[in-house]
Amino acid sequence: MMFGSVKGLRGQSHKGVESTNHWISQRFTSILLVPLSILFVVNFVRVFDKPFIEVLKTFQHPVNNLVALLFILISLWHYRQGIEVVIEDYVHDLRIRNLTLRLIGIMCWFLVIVVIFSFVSIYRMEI
Amino acid sequence: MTQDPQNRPLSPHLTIYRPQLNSVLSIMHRITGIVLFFGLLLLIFWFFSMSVGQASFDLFSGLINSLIGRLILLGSLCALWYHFFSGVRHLFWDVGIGFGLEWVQRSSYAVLLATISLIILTLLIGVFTG
Ligand code: HEM
Repeated sequence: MMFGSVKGLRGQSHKGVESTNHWISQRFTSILLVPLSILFVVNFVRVFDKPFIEVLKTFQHPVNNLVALLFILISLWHYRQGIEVVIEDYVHDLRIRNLTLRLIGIMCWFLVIVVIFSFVSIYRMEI
Repeated sequence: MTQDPQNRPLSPHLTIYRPQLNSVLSIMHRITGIVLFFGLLLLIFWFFSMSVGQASFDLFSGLINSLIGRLILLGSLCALWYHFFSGVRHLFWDVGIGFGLEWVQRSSYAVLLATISLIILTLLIGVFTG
């Protein structure tokens, strides 16, 4: 293929089809974040200074729990897509670029695990 | 200039470039996107502390409700609503709506106005339900 990917190169801007896919999935997360951020922020500002029990009850409600979980997970995904473009713009040394992108990827997956764990235990917590 | 191909001036000439509303708003979209990650981290810690139990939640809740904590939250809120409206404008551009200098100028003001309104609205919701 004409735009064949460069072996071992992380990041999207050097690959033809993949960069189109990257662009499309970036629009996908952006569109999802429009309703999610409104719903989440309205919930959050109402409870962020409340005592434990009240906050817990709020986020044990299945709808609130799911909205918050999705907002955070999709934000993480969207951040990873966005920061990849930023790093491709500024980090020109390919070894450092690949390393940075790999570290950010690992960090995001780690956070995904922490977030899922937290939301499941919040949902199942007995008061 | 042509004598030295290694050292030709780059465009735009950032050091002598008069900052314009549109270029400033454009770089702000990038800056707010990067900054928002730290707000997101804070949020993740908050939920994590909640999942561990009341003692850890109280500790972390005390931190984000301190003066500095609240200032950080306020900063994240401003960044979020700016990035949100600026992002929505990007999405319109992506489907070909809103080009042309005049429309770009107008939508810049719309983004700023919407951002400020939503910040105030969110704070009001926080105050009246708090
Ligand atoms: C609230 C809803 C959000 C919307 C509607 C949104 C929208 C967008 C859009 C459309 C872009 C692409 C801009 C372009 O084409 O250059 C973008 C980029 C980006 N976003 Fe978001 N975003 C949102 C939330 C977030 C959050 C919460 C974060 C951070 C955790 C974030 C981080 C970024 C980053 C780092 C970029 C890359 C900036 C760049 O390339 O200059 N965004 N966002």
